[in-house]
Amino acid sequence: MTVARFERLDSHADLATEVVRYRLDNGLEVIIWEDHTAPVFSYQTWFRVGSRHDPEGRSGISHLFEHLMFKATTTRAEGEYDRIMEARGGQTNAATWVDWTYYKAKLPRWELDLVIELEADRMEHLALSADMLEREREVVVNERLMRVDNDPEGLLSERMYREAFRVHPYGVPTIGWMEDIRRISLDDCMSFYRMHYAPNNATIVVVGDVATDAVLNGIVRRYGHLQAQAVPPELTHSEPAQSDERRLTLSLPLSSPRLVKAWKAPPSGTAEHAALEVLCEIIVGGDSSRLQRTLVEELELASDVSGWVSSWAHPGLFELSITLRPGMGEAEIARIEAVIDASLRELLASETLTLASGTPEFDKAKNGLEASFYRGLADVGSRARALGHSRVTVGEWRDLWTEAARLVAVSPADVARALAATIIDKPATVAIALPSGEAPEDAEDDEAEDGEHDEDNGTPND
Amino acid sequence: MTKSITVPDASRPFSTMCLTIPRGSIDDPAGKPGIAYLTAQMLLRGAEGMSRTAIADSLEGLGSVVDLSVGRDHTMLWADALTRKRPELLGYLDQILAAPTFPEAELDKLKRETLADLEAVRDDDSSLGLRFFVRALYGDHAYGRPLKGNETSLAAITREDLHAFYRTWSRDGSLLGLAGDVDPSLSETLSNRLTAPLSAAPHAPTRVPAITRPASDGKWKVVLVDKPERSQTQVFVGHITLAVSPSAAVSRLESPLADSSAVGVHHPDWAPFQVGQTTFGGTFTSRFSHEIREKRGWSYGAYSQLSGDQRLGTFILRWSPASKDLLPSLQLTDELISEFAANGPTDAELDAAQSYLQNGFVFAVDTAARRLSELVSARLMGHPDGWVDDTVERLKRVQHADAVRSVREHIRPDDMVVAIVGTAKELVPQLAAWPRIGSIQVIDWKTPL
Repeated sequence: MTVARFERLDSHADLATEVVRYRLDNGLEVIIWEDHTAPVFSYQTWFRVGSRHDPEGRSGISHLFEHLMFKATTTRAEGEYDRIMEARGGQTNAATWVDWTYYKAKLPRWELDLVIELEADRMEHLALSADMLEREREVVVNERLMRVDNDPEGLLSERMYREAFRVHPYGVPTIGWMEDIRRISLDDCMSFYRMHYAPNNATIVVVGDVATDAVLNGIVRRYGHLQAQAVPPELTHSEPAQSDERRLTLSLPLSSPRLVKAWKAPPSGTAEHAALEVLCEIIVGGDSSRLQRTLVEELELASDVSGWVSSWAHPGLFELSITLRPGMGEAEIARIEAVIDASLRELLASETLTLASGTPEFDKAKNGLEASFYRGLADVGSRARALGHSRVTVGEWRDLWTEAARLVAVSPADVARALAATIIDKPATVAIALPSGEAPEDAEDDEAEDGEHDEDNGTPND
Repeated sequence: MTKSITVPDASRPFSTMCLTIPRGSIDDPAGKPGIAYLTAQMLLRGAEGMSRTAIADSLEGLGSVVDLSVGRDHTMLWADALTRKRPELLGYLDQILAAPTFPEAELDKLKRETLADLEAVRDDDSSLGLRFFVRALYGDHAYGRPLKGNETSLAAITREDLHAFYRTWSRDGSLLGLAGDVDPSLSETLSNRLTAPLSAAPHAPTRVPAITRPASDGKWKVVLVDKPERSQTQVFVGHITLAVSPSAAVSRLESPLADSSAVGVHHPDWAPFQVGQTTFGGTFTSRFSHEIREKRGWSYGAYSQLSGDQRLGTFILRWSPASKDLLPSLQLTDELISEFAANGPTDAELDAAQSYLQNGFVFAVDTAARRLSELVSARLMGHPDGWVDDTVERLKRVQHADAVRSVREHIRPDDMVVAIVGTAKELVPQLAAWPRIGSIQVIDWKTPL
């Protein structure tokens, strides 16, 4: 029997603490951030597989399989994982998104050995039955009904992403199309498990009141014998450049119309992405932001305005979402689009983006993002998530800190370049939801009536 | 008793604060629900020398988030700040609290925004269902009043109403909480400074009338919010509980806050009932979730919850089955809750629930901000100092026999109020055929909230 070994790969100094990444010789990575402030720790296992890896016709398998990981193993009966964790006070869950799947547990500090044993066990010995799959499939069908089919925002987002990404799998919902969820077999699931849940396709992140030696010894003992596997190459095709505006309108039982307008945006971990984050803060961050002030406060066309730059591995979207006031319709939507366009052009020409040093508006956005960074550091679970997310999407686990540094370094000229390169005169994808009876006759396309659409790509599925 | 609570954590140059004032929606004058809410929101829309625009620019310019929220008994001003920006933040808060101007034009705008917010509730089935459940549960009582008001009340509220309401904000009973990079020795000074502009009069709690409930006929009363094209339903089932002191023959709802010693969260059965109900639907592996989600896949979530304040508790079951599974899931729920109320949980279930609650409590206090939140909540509920730190011991002291008795005594399967959001034409025929249901009130989803 060979003894598993690990090597220290790299580290980052945060205050007085050194956060370190290790790798076992089977490829399993372990990131450890000791923090003894509170007697708790977070233990997360990140797999480099998400819905963008779902095979065609089996959309939703990453997510459905994530649910199945809470079932039985060869040595533990169905439900035992949850029963044990609950009795120890553990907070457990999992999430799947376009680029990744991760399993999280927060536990009192004395439960380190327990969580290592349970997580290693289900990574190696999952034991599924057809009956388990059928029952969990029903749960996921209900999750889809809740998050998408009966939720106007979820449905609109799903349709918008499908329109924006016609080739790249970011256009396919993480929860899967309903017909695919119905089609996934037990063989599909076991094959997915063998292919993707390999030690060399995973990163374990531990943050909190633990001793590094104890974490490493426990992980070597429980995971060290696992064999590295050949993870299949990704077959994702790049999304061709979008040359024209794409537009869709849904007619739904709705009180307040919705508008989502989105432009193709660079991937996470780039300077351009950081510049768009600052732009987003300037135009929709808080009550003092440009669009909030114009659309909600002055013109009273909207009741809510928000924005998001997708933090994904591949190019995603810069999204603006607007909830209109009740009783408004197509005319107001056209007006809002015109206001957004004018407001962004005005910003591009304004002192905020043309002066070399920051104006109050620019500094405000930077202060806001700095404060957000600290808000995200309070909880051991959110820190572990930031490290795992960075490792899987950007490749660099220390992006939690380098992203903060990138944001600090963003200049007005960077934002101006990003605005010009991404949004001004660039083709957008526009999705509109109007109350039933107010949409144009031909607005509803065939597939919407099939009722087979799904999840919001804007949030991970638990 | 101090007027401040501090949880220091100097590891990051950041802190949060919350100032709580003992005035909330329960204090809204009759016929004018929404005054407490509008008063709080208007603080950020005009102060002496500062317009709404200037206030937003100033606060957000610091990177701070400032929020005013209103509950039944309290209004809370919550803010956070980078350490280097905190002095400026406090300066702005001084100005805002000292001389709010309640500008007429801004009030009109806020009313229109609030009406839009109320309308937006209709687009979220879960929020819509909860709104009608609360209305069905509390009826015309102050607890059933919409916190943000409604179209009629908003139209009737004047700028003078808000001025008058703000004048009832008193220093007495206020509480400042600080967490993060702060010096505890300054907290009392800071509390005095921020509340200095408020009324010096003693806090006078509003008297709350009792909730009257018709005698049970053993049937469930269903409110069905009819919304078209629903393939899934949202279900809320529950009743009021712990509203009567064990030693009193009448409800204590009329008691002012300071005197409510044995109802709601102060009821001696609060902890035993909390442990007991956790075995039914408080965790992922508990009975309800196991039967509805794990065994049948009928709903993504299926939970029970006991919430409460100083006057009463509310026991609620929630799940969201597909329309086709609504009736069977209701019938199963009736069976499960009736059996549970008759026999109570087993020792093994109680051991598991106590272990879960005791071991998991650490996560309620594992950051400075969370610990502060627990300490503030305990103080607002009228618990003594040390209450939060005694939580685990308190849970350990719960005897199985008391938990079983509490469940049997306080869960009343015959008294359930039911609210459902779904498409009536598909659901009414199923529901009408089930004898457990005494009445079905169908309400259009666009009915005024």
